Amino acid sequence: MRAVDDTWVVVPLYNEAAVVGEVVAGLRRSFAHVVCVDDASRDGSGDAAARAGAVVVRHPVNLGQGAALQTGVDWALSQPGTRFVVTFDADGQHQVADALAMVGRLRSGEADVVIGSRFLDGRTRVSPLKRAVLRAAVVHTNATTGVRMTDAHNGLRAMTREVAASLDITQNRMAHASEIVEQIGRGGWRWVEHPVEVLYTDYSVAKGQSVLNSVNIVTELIFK
Amino acid sequence: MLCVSVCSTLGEVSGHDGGVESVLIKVLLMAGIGVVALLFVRGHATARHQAVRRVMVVAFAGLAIASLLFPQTWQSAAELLGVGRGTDLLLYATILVVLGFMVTSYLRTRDLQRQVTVLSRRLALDEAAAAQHQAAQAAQTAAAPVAQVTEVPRTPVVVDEGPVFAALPAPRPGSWA
Repeated sequence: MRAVDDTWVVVPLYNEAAVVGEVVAGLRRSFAHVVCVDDASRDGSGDAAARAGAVVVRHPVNLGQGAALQTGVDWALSQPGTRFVVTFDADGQHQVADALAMVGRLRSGEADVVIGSRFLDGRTRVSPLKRAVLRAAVVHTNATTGVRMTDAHNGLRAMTREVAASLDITQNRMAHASEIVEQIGRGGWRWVEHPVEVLYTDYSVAKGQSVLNSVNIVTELIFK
Repeated sequence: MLCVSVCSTLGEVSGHDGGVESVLIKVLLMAGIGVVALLFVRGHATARHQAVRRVMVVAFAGLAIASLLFPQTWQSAAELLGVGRGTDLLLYATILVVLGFMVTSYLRTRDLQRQVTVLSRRLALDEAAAAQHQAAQAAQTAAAPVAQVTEVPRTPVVVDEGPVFAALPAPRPGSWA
């Protein structure tokens, strides 16, 4: 199968040197263009991503995942021939097959934005506490944005060029997920959810979002 | 969160000697807190905010001198407002000022953060684009070796750094940390 070459996969990257090479290599088997936004990692993540064939955009100082996403989107839009933009996590939680299927749905004209949701099928194993926190986030996002989604904090998204160009992520830290949903709602874009599997490996659990971080997210959303 | 702690401090202070006696001071303090909250919600620092800030600094200096010259003013103002002592009134005013300062510096830090973000992003994108351009050129030269011959070699720019710069030790990476 020929690699998709009208899509840029945006991977925000911060201290994931152990896995990012594998993630980028996996993506590159299906997507010709991968951009990793290295958010001033201190473990050589950027070099690992570059070796695996990604374009690496390096923030000179650490700005946060939201800022990295916006930078990656800006890069994708600056490149000729970009029709779709995918956001994908660097820690190996997401499946390339899911991303491909989501771009396929965009290509069919079914929607302008496809958002991944881990709650639409039984593939993802979520601990009860994490499930409760994520549910609370969904309730909050639904209440504040008027967009009803089942999983507000999923890093796997696919969107058309037009939607990507309309994004303006100002929440540098973690609250950007809700902000993106809000902007999609406000923009009146046609969106659908797509069932995706989030793989909680030992690595991603050890590194990933602690439930406590939801305190930060809530604070950032209130005092934005 | 800081706001909550300051507000509760305010409550404790007023509760210390049996609550704020007069409605007047309560109204004044609440109005002050309201103004601070409004500032917080309204967000962006404008030129008007800056002007207000400057006027307030001048007013502060004036009041400070006045209270040195006429220390009993605070006492009479406190009596007028129904606060027991002048020092208490001063304390309330200080808390309000601290609250206002917190909000304005928060807003300014946030604006600064946004500017840093925009600047860093521009820099990161430009550097990546330059690297991409360079890689593309290198690939082109490798693909067509004939082009290499016709290319005019660029004269290296010699920068005379002078003895002052030469004497300086080169900064070690990570020496700032």
